[in-house]
Amino acid sequence: MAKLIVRKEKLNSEVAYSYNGSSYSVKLSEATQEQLKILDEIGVDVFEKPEKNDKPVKV
Amino acid sequence: MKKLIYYLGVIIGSVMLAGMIFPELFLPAGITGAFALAIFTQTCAKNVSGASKVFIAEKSVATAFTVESGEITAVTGTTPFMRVDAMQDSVSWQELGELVGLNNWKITNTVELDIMPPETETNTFLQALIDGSPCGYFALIVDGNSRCWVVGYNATDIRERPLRLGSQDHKTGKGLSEAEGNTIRITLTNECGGIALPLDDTLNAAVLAGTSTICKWS
Repeated sequence: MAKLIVRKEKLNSEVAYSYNGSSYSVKLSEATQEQLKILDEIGVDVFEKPEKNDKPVKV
Repeated sequence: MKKLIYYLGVIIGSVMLAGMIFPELFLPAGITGAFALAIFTQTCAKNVSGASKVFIAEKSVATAFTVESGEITAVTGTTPFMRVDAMQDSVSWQELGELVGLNNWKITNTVELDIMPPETETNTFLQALIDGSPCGYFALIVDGNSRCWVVGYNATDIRERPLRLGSQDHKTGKGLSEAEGNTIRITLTNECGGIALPLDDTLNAAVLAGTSTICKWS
């Protein structure tokens, strides 16, 4: 899975979420990739969209 | 060596100066115990009592809150907050803080609203509140100043102390002169360790405009 990158303007944010029956709070600037993956799974919209590959594909 | 000490001094001095000018850079996001007492300036604006609207979300549906500088900037979940058409001037939210022992601070939230008339639809709504209460709720309150607050979530307990259905009270009343006859008063309540947070201006405006996707409008 591609590395998740938090949008610059969201780096100072903190996200409070539930996972596996417990509540957690994480500061996005200090979040690990594992934590970001959980946030992505939940649907938290703080990540940079993956760039589209516009280059023609060589056949 | 002298130069090194000089540059170190400049760096430390700059950091200290930045800390004095922008203390929020050195504080975690959200309301925490890390705030030092500072001056409070009052805004010259009218202050309107009361609450005008209430929305209720199940804890399991509102899956995450994004917080920046003590304000909620996003709520994750598929339109988690359900519109509740309460009777006019029946919605209220009380946030009562009190000292417990010497060092503990307890906050009790009480959200009240009246619905009517007693019907199958009101029964369905009440039963859903009863069924969902063990998991808990978050309430979105629009106060008289058009500021939206999320009650049941706070930065201290995170999401561990949501609102529960405290009571439902239905009385027919004794006759036509009882204004509150045949209304159902619903009370959501919790005890928690942190104060409720407001929505940021963008999300607040979207809720007031009826366009926010965090609320189910119809």
